[in-house]
Amino acid sequence: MNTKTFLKLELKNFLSERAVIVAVLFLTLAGVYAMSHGKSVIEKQKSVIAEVSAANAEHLKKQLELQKADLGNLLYYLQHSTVHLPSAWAAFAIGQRDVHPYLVKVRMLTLEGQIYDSEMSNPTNLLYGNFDLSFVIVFLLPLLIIAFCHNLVSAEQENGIWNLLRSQPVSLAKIIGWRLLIRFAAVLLLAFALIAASGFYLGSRFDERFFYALLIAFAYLAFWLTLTAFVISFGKSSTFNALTLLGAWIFLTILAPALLNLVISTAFPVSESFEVTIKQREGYHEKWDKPKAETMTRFYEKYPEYKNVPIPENAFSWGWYYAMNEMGDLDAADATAKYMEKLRTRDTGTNRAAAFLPTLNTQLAFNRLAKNDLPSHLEYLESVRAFHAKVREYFYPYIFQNAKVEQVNWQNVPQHEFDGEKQTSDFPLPSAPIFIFAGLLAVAARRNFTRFTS
Amino acid sequence: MPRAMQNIGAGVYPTVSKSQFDKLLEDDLAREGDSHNPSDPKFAALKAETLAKYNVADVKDLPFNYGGFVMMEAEEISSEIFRKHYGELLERFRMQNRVAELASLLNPYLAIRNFSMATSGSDFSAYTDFQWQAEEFRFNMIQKLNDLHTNQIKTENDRTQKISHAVWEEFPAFEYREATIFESLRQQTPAITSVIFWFLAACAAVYFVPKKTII
Repeated sequence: MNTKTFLKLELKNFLSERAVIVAVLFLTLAGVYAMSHGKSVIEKQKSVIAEVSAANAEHLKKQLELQKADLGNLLYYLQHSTVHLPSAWAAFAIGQRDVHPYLVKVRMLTLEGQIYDSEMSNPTNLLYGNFDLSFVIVFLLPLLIIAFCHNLVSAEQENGIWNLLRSQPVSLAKIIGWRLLIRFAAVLLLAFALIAASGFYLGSRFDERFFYALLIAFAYLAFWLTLTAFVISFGKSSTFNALTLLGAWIFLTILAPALLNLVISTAFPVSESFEVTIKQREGYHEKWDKPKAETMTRFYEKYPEYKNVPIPENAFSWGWYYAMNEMGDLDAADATAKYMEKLRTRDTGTNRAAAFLPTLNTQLAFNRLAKNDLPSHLEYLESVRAFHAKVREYFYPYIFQNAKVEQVNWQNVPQHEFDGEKQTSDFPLPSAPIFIFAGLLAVAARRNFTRFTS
Repeated sequence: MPRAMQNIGAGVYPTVSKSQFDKLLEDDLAREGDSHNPSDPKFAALKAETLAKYNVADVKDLPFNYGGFVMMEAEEISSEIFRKHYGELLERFRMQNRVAELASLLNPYLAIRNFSMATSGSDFSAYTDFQWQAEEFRFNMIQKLNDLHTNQIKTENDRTQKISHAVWEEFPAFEYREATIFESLRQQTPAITSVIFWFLAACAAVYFVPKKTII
């Protein structure tokens, strides 16, 4: 019998199993649900962003009306919205987009007290996480591989066909190899179909990210295929294989990531967040009780152009008030830098460890692809800091000239936008250890198969 | 399954985002009385009423600091609005959770999880409990500050006056009152029902399985 006929028959055999049809249907259904869930989460965020952007003009108009008497007062109340627009792939892997705020309104006051609010989310929703397409690929597709392949050899042994096969003049190892590949191809096809469907349904663009997503899914599923092949290559019973593989699945998808989380949060405690809070609060509030000249001297170091504007020592002035606010940020600057650094260290630590955990590595890679990971959020925060400085510097000249509200050019007030879609660099590849694991497992499985089929 | 159920719950009962929530508060505040708005009718009426009551022509002649008094009234209004909307939001969260809780009747994993979270005080009701206690603490502290402002600070040159250190030391620190185990478990009726059901089902299965198939 030549390979071509064999493949034809085997494919027919595989597709005629009712369990296969049911499993594929179930997974397709899960994929469709995941897409609609991801889409609804991201669509909701987009509509909120649009709503707020539309309300900005109205907010300005209202404040201009209410506080027309005093520019300093007006700037105190005026909010400037900053948005983190989702990338085109955001609905594919929601990642940390449900925890981190995607819209922060800032005022001209101390910034560090304004940007760490999180979204108002149901803690139980956060606990379970999102059922998005990346979840289907990372959590559910391995189960499909296990279901298809765990009894590939053992079922034949248990049915008594194995000995019949052994008496044939064909290479059994080769046959097993082909049978595994057919099943792998089926799962891979499903994964690729889901990723492609996300392109049509979620609007994930067909650019280089599409190929990155395919490659990540391929490496991940290849790992599970070789792991399954390795387990069944010992020729144990179907029950043994199924239990071993399910154990590996639970360990890799649930236990190991939870353990790693525990290790990372113990190894890198983020005490800096508290320090930032204290520093920025004290940095600003203590200035009320200090000589105004002291605050202003530090302010002039940064903005010498306002040196000649008189600041009365025994009366309130807006120049001094906003200078105090900026000093709050300046006093917290070291703590802020350390805090951001610690968060990045945590992220790098997680990514390094995750290189050896195919499940976590794949999930993180998808989150990165969608730009819904921690570094993307930190970049957004950086852009908010830069924007806040721009707003302050836009209004300082008016403040120090004691300008009237109507003297200000309200048309050119800086606007903020951070678009996840424009962050097009630094896309992730599957980690090298995944390929190495897959390679080693494949070699070991092949050796085992050749040994007990000869 | 747990993840899908929770997500379905969130899909069926959508909630407002933080910025929409802030907008709700802002709109209600504008309607109910905004002390920061100098022409707000509610606070204009309050001013006229207070002046008439003490029979004086200007707030400066009142026996207390009118600024602090207004802030106390305003805090009462704004906190009431916040509690209303936040209560609605938490109720919405609870409805989202109910979908997965009902599913726990079918899924013993979810039931055990909810059960153990309730006993260790890390479940949803412990979360809401903490939120309300923190809000109560904040409200009492602010009103105490407003009270000091009203009664200890004179209106003239108010920004240069100071309050003694001893007064600040009297402010209580926040202490979290933990719910008792029975209070926590009362929230988990579906989970407990499910655990009991599965336990009985398991016993029944062991009992009724014909002996010879066991070997």
